[in-house]
Amino acid sequence: MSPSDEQLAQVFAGHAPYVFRVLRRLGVDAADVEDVCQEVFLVVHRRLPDFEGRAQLRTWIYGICLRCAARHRKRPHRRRELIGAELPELAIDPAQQRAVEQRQALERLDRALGELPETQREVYVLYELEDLSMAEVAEVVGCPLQTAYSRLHAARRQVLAAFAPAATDRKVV
Amino acid sequence: MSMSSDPKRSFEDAELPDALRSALAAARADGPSVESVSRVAERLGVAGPGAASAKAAASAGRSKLVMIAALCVLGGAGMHAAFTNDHAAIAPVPERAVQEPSASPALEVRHEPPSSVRAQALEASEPAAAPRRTQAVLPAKSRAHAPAVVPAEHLDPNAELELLRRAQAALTPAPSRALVLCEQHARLFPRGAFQQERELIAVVALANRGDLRAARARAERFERAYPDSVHEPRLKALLADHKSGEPGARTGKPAESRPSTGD
Repeated sequence: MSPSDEQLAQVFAGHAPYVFRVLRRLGVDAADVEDVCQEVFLVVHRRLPDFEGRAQLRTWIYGICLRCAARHRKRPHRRRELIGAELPELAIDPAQQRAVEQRQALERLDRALGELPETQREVYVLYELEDLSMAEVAEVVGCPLQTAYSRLHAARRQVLAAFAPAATDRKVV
Repeated sequence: MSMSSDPKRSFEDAELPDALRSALAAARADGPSVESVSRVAERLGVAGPGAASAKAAASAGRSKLVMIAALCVLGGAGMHAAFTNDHAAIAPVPERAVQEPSASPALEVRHEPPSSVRAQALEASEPAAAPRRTQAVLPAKSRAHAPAVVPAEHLDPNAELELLRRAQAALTPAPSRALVLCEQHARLFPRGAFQQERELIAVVALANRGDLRAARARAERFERAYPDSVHEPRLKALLADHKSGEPGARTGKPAESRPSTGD
């Protein structure tokens, strides 16, 4: 393994789990997430010499995730997620009821996120799930801070509506 | 950069529907499987010792040894420095000290893809420029009294380690955030398997934030609570270092009164 490969290995070791996580919440299907994750780290590898340390590496990688996920969503050959295709990849035991419930909750959230406009979804995921500050979120998505706040507010309202009791009745699978 | 104006995260909202709270907790703890990480690592040509920790972090087993090993790294770098360096309470620990060795721009990286990656150099857009560094401080106080999120029995067993992994990753860039995550862990997993590790991370976070007195008090509570802990010798050594080199003792200025470096 060359020195640059070793550095990529270090970056991958430190960041792969959250790259997977954020890609999934940004709408990358389970069937495609490995491909897009690979894409993210290839970009990281190519751009790392230009990374000047002015941002946290993690924040910088979030920006790459956003763009790779957006490209993925626009691809015409984007694969459809197959029911059950994800089950072998679960890190949890599907036999456990609570694991199943957790997975269902996650799927429900993903459906709600899928209804959001892309710009709102990005802000919501980065702030609510990845714990970035709003200033960091605004930087990553490339919008004014007040715009980020507006997007967050709108996204929250819509996600909350998706989890309202009436919505529950409609969307129970 | 201050985050004092940031709104509360949704999961801290006591009036949030339980279903949404559970979903958010599940999403925050979500992660890839070991197999998935391994496949991508192999395709990138980084399946080796470097990728081992990513696989370990994603592992269903996520054994305690992983966390202990990670904490040994902490103890050797950020934690030790925070207790022994006079400037530790003022200056942020260098980013390379903990968790993100690749953040250093000094390391050379080839422009071409890794040797083992074949013609898979997928075109993808990337940020036009790296965003400016932000020094954000989480509103720790506002989160400290947040309601319990989800009973531990409703969470993925791997969530506990994932949560602490995130706390550990935040130690250097965002110690306040690390503390918040530790508090979250304490609420979610009051009888968790990694209570000692959580306390260790919290001690380091306090020290990195400049709250040396609080760090020492928490470390002493740790010693009393876990007198037989495998971490106890390291903590003892750190406390001894701290007692002999406490910045506040030398300057006459309490560590807590020093301005936060932000995180």
